[in-house]
Amino acid sequence: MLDNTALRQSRLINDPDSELVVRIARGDQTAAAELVKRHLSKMTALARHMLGDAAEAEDVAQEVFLKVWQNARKWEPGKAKFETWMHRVAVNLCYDRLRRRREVYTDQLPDREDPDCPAPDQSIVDAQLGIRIENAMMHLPKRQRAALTLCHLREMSNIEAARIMEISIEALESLLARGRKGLRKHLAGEVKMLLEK
Amino acid sequence: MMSIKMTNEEFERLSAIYGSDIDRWPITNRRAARDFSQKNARTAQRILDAQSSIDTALSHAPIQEANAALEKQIMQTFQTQSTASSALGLWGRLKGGTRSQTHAFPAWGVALALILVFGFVGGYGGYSYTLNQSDSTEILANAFGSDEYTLFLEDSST
Repeated sequence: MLDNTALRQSRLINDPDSELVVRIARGDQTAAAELVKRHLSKMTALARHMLGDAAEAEDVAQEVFLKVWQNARKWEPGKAKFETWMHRVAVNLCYDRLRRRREVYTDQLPDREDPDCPAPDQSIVDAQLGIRIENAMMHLPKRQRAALTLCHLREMSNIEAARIMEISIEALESLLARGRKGLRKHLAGEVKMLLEK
Repeated sequence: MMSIKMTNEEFERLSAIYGSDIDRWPITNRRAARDFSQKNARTAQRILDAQSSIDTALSHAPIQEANAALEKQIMQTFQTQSTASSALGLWGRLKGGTRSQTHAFPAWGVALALILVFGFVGGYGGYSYTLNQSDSTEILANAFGSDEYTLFLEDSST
């Protein structure tokens, strides 16, 4: 249960969301709207990188905020930033979905283009590259994908990412190294070709 | 801040984990890494270049922005949840839930209220079933003694 002591404690770890969470715990919808505005993009982007699916990413983001609304009273400030807790919830929801999902990704990446064709517009090249990266990410084991997403795509520190994933820094580093290696393997040849265009 | 001595192997290991941008490496390693890359420019560049294509590739990963419709949908979910929990709270008080014992209605009160409600609805419903619409409207007009209902009766008869 949140009280003033807990709130003071959370201020000590410089949590910009703590006051909002206290208000949300009291049922304040304005505070909830503010929190949604602050973090919705981050949650959606994280879920998109983890799941590779726009609609599922939105579902996960929605579930995260529903959990916030339902569990704000139970949050214990001072242990970790509220944002860290939200990311942890999002990552775990993505894990659940990936566990349930039948892995039906194709082993083949989309066909390379005909070299005789005129060069496509840069935005199309970017979009194609994006799809290829996303496909390659989907081939990685989910924990490697989570580590890469948090550290490289969400630009979090290794300490924050390890905290979210509830693992040690050493374990995170191992996941990152294997993830990057796996990505290189899946993108062999493709990346260089596309980036040179 | 403690600075770690950087070796060729450590530089390579860190680049394989954190990529080609030293600014993204753990803060405790950055200074030593920069010193290393100044003293061993060619080696450092070769190691970093080997990782840069993956960093560039990652920077092209699709970014999904949240949209206003999703934001609205989430807020509607909160409102639905609030309404549902208010209803549950009322039900809890009605049945004398453990969390609000002091405000709980007594069981006999609940029973009496239910009998009255069902009695009224059942009695009125059963009787009105035997009447046509204008009759039932007349009963309502008599029951409430309202001019509006009288007016309504006059309008409907024309």
